[in-house]
Amino acid sequence: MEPLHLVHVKILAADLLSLTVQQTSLPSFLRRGRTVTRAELVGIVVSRDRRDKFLRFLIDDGTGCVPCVLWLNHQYLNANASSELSDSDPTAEMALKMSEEVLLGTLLRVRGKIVMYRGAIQIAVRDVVLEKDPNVEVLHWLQCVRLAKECYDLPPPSAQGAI
Amino acid sequence: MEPPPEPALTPRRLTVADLLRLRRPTTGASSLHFPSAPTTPSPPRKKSKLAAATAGPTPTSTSGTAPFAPISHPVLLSGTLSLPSEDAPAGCRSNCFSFSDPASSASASPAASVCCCLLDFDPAALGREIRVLAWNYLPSVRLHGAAGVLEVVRWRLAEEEEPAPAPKRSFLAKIRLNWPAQDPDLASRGCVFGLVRSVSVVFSMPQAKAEKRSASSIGFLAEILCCGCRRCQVSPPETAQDHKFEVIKFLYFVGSACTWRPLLVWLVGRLVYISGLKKKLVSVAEKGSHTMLVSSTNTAMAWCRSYRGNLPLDGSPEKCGGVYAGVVTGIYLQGLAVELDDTVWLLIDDLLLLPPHCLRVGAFISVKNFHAMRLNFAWTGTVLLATCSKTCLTVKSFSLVDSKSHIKAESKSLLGKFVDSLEMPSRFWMLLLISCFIQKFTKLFSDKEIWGSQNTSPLSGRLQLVDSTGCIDVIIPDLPPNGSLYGIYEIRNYKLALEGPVAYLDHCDVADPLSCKAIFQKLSYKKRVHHLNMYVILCWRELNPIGPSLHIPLHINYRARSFHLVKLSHIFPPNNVQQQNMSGPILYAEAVILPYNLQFIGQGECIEHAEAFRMSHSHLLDGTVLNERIVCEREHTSRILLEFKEGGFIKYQLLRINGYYLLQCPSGSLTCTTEGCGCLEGGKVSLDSQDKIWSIAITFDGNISIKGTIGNQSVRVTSAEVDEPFPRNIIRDELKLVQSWNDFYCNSYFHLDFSCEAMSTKMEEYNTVCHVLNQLRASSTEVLSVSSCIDIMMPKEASGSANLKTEEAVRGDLISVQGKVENIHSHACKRGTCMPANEKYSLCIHVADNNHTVRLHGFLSKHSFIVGMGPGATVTFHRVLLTQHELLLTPVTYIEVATVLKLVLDKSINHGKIPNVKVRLAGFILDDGSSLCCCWADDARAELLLRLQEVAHLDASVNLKLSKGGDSTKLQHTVGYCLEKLLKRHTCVIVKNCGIPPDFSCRDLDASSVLHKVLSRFEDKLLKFIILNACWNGTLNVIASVINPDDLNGFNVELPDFPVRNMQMLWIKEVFPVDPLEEARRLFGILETS
Repeated sequence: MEPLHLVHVKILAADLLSLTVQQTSLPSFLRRGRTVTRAELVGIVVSRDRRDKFLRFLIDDGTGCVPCVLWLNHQYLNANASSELSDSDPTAEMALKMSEEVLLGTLLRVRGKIVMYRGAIQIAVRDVVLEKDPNVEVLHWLQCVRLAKECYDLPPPSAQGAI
Repeated sequence: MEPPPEPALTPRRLTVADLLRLRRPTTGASSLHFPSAPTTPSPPRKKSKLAAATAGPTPTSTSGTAPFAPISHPVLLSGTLSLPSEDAPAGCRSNCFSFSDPASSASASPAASVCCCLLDFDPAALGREIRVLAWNYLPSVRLHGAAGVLEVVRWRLAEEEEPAPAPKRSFLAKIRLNWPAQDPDLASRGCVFGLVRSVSVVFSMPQAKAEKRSASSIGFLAEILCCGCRRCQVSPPETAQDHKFEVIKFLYFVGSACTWRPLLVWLVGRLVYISGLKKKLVSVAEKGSHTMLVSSTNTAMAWCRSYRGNLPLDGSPEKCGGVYAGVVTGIYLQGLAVELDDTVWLLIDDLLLLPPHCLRVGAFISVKNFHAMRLNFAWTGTVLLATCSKTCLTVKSFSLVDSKSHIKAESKSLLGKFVDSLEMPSRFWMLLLISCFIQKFTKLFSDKEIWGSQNTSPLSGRLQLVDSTGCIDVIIPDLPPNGSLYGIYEIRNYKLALEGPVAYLDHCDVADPLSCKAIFQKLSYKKRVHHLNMYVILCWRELNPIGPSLHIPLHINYRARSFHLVKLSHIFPPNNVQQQNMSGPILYAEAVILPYNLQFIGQGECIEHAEAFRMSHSHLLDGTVLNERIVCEREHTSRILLEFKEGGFIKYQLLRINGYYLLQCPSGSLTCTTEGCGCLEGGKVSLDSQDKIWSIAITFDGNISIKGTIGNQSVRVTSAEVDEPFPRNIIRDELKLVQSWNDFYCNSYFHLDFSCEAMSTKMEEYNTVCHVLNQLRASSTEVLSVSSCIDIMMPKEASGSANLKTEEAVRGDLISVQGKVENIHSHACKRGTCMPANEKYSLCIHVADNNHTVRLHGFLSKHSFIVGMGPGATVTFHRVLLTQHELLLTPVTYIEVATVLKLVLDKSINHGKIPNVKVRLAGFILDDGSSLCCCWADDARAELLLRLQEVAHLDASVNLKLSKGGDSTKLQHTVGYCLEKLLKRHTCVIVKNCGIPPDFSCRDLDASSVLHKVLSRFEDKLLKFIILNACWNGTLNVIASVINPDDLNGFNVELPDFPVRNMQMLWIKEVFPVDPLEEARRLFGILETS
């Protein structure tokens, strides 16, 4: 199993947006031949579009702008479950709380699944963390560089084994 | 009355006849100094700021020329303003007024007149003599053809109106129209009272057979939303309040009245009363006949100055409507396609719709009544504003960066007729196609008349011919040794030489060859023939010199020792200029030249170790006395554009509006003055990575503020005093140049400090300097507070306490406003008033001071969004449009973040009680970006990872149960405290995740009590909240060691097979927050050595 499959790959917007897309039944994303499914970005919110069931926003990390969607429709998903279950599920409330942190001009760490929407790559947000120290941006860049060198750009372990 | 100006500055009189003799684009002003407050009670003509200053930074050429030559002395231009004459060309008759020399009875010849466009038009000026205070003149493109166009930036009436007390001013102001015998009675039979909604183009219509003179009649229609009540039909209305403007009527202005169109265009959106109209029956094809109101020789018009209503929005988007205002960023295909704000395309393809002369690149224009549509091509999308017969184009600010008037071809080819038959989106497509064909098939060079000025390029050392569109090398075989190289010449006979391999001829490369702009843009020949050497050969004796000689410096000399002082008046946001130029991005700022020079005095030629410096006033050298007005007045006139080329961007980013900066003077002369050296006359200074600009800071005993007693405004100083050098060895104690010359040269700031003692003992000596500095400081307080803005926006009577500053600004002005950002949110678009555009976001920003909040609306490009402009930041918005109800962001708005407020949360949380919860074991899956691992922790480590110390942000139902008080007295509890309460009841709970990590859902969590008690809904929710909250965390550093999974057996832990079984098992020893800076340094060290 490809180990990168499970982790949130620390990545820059430009690299994320230039992932190779394999159009299978569920599109998969390749970085130098290795499948990635989740990503972590750090950048500034430059656009925000709040709708009933979701919040769309753009994260700009200086290399590009990544569209992100934060779903706020958990109560609909729980509609079939018993009311007791949905009442005791704080996900919707917390997602709503998270959406309030996404303000224009704020620095955020965003994690989520890489998905295709209307032919473009976007992030289906799992969580959003408001970053108060601007240095985290620099740290994120350095981590991206380091992980690319030491992990992502290396051939997967199985391939290494084959050689 | 206005005090008589300085004798040396008396404006020279200029007549329209003189104007017509000008052969190159020229700007002039009645005074090169404008007092900061008007000294005469002239009608509120307002906005000198908006005037010439807002010319967008969108030059089409980068050759270093200024398209407009300023007249260096004050000139007074006065004449009569009237409606255009009937025999004027159609383009002028539709848009322009006429400006003519005052008719003198002595002269038999008719008075010279010129087409004229005014900013801040007022119907009261019609038929009267006006004084033009600031203007641009564009001669006709054809050298000996028709008269050019006069653009009036500032003006006032020649004879002042009696300042009538406000209540006496009548509800309706009559407009003087040029009827020979006008019936003064407004109450005539056919009359309308209403809002002008739209004005058609001027068209000709064949008259019915009944009309004996069968010639077609020329006229235009005005659509008016009228009041249908009877009272309006009986007598002129006295007030607008009792009337409802709902009935649509069409007025046909025919015959001589067709020259009223410029006036009616101005009246769109305003309330008018028109009387003396005839009712006529018109038949529309076979469909029947209607009564229509037609102008007659008795027609009189009046407008309501006080009415402030808005036009109701028209229904569907298919209908013609809406208003768009933007900066022209490109004009193509002889004016058929106009690009606005780099994003929107305005299609002016109606043959009858003749755009105003002032529609040039860089002008700020307003488009009313259009069809807006979104075009999606396969490769790109754009927004198209299609004009129709109701479209009105008005210019709100003239362009100073482009002097090329785009005249539309008046006759249409067969192809043009075909294009007309297409639907609108296909029409735009067709135009793109035509543009491609033209580029493909046209001959490389057509027979073109060249006229421009000669210059020796400092780069090539070759002689060049320069005009506002570009430059070309010239070779003059018979060039005399003493020939003036800086004149303007007309060249009729020349040879064009191309040298290079033929294969390159078709080569062309553009950054984005498929953008609409690139397709429309005729690539410059220089670009096209990239690998070819191209020059013009001409004969010196065949040159025809025209106009005065002009010196245009292209670069600033490096070894300068003399510096000019400028004050920055505007920074153009970078979004406006992106991708404008093929040669790479260029950024612009605008500065005002102050009449002070700074000179360093060294020994002989060496200034590396300057021994002294002096500040001199450029007007003082001829013995004039310094007075306050000189400083203020020059503020408004001597503007230069600072151009930051690639490599100079860092300087651009360091600039601050209202800051003072020093620019090197290229002339090495110590005696030079602002006027003498002429280095700033070109109107533009280019700065690249090599050139320097210094910010200047002057402090008094280390303090920025100057004491009021120093620099008394009545002080009179002679030139000798101000010009006296300050030697370095003396200034050490009194006037301190804080850093040495070398430091000054290396750094980018100039810091001068006056010690207080010196100020008191040598008061006399430094009075002048202080005076100058006080002046500089006094003129830098042009930023309004939010409260002042509100005062201006409110009706006049409410602003009784408004200070002088606020009275100067008038609705419709571009102003600067400072305040604290309270909120920023995207703003829903109202149809017709805003356009969706790429990379631009419609925003609403709430800005407040201590008393009021004001909203700023508009589009902000992604590129002009400033980091740090969040809630809490103190921000200055420069050049926002002040309207009745709100402030609008414009394409030239520049945002400066002054301070970013650091939010310190200090809430009284019951820290006193440290939660007495013991986490015996918690399992976490950690993701470091390269792999997942399974970590186990207990006690404090687990508490940190579970965030038990944080305040519980559980809302609604949860919080009600947690806290006992009401909302205001709500106690906030830590998560741990809540957990502690839960554990009191259950002693021990176990939460299992039944899902497959790392995906996580609350539905997969299963919580149970070891006492087999049922967990309440709240308890269940709290546990889920704790886990979710822990998973949605920031980054933490963890120190851990490997453990054997068997060690966990005592806890009865069930590990899911996949993927946890394959993970490494770790025991967490320490958890601490990440210090990003330290971590980044560490990582950088690793990366550097690896």
